[in-house]
Amino acid sequence: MCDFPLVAWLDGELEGGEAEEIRAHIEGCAKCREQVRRIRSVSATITEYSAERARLRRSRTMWWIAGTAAAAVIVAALLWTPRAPKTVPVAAVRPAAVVEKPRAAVITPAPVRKVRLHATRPVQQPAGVRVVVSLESLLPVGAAPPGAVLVGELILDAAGQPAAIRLE
Amino acid sequence: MAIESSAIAIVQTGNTDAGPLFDQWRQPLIRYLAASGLRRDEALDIVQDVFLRLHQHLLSNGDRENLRAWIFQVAHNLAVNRRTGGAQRLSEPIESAAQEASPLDDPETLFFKKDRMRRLHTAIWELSAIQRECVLLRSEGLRYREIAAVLGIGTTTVSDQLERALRKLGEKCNV
Repeated sequence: MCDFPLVAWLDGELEGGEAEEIRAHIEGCAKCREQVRRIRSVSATITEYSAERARLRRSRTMWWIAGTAAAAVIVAALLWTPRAPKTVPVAAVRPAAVVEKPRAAVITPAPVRKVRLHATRPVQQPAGVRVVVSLESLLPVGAAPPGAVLVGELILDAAGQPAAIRLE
Repeated sequence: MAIESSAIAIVQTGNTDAGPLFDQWRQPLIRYLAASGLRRDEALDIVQDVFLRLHQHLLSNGDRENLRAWIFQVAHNLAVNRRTGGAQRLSEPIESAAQEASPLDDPETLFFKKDRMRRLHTAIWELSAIQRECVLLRSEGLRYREIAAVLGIGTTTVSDQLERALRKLGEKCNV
């Protein structure tokens, strides 16, 4: 098997005498000509590969952003359960002749607090809650940066139903 | 692929503005860093860092003789630090051919493109680290003496490693 530095020759890295010797050899050697053809072909493929990797990583980043935003909306919708105000009948102490309707005590929702959610455990949340979703629990292994979270706020309509989630 | 030398000319006349150099070499650096296993956001971080350091280098009258090699050497070293500091990401497959398909590509052409990229990706990551670095730096147009400077090896070693690597890749990719 011929043992010439064909890559260096192709790249113009050889001095005049050596380069000329290889050029003359290639003219008469089909195997070396074929090897030169392969080197050129794989070099072109490597250039294409590098460009693809640079583009791929950009498109995957955009997919990741869109995908996690959509996932957060779905998770928030599944985990949020509307909680009607609790009412507790209160018996009023009145003279027997007067009967009043029991007065209902309304339990106001708990103050807004930050809650860390786990995708596999449904947790009831009070209205107006801020949600923090760990991306590692939503995406395939290695797809999310370690410790990355999505923080958002559930926006309720006038009826107390979830209307939207606003990601921060 | 050759990198234009007009930006080098700007630097060598005493202009310390690294801006034109950034415009010329930003994309080749991103390609090199992405192909060597970094995510795009990491590659962009490193590119910014490289050009900030270049700016400092020029302001302090650093050596301007081979700025291309200097730039890639800084990028290479930062990438090595980043990789050794975090998880290895060697095995991420390449599946982009369909996303980047030309509207003129028929399904058979697409299949072969995707298959060729996948085989090349596997073959590149089966090379030794030195061989892979030589191949990727050569792909960005660096001369052997520049590759040698980036990697801290001799030009004869660069030549030997490239011969072996490209022959292996040619066989494995069946080109």
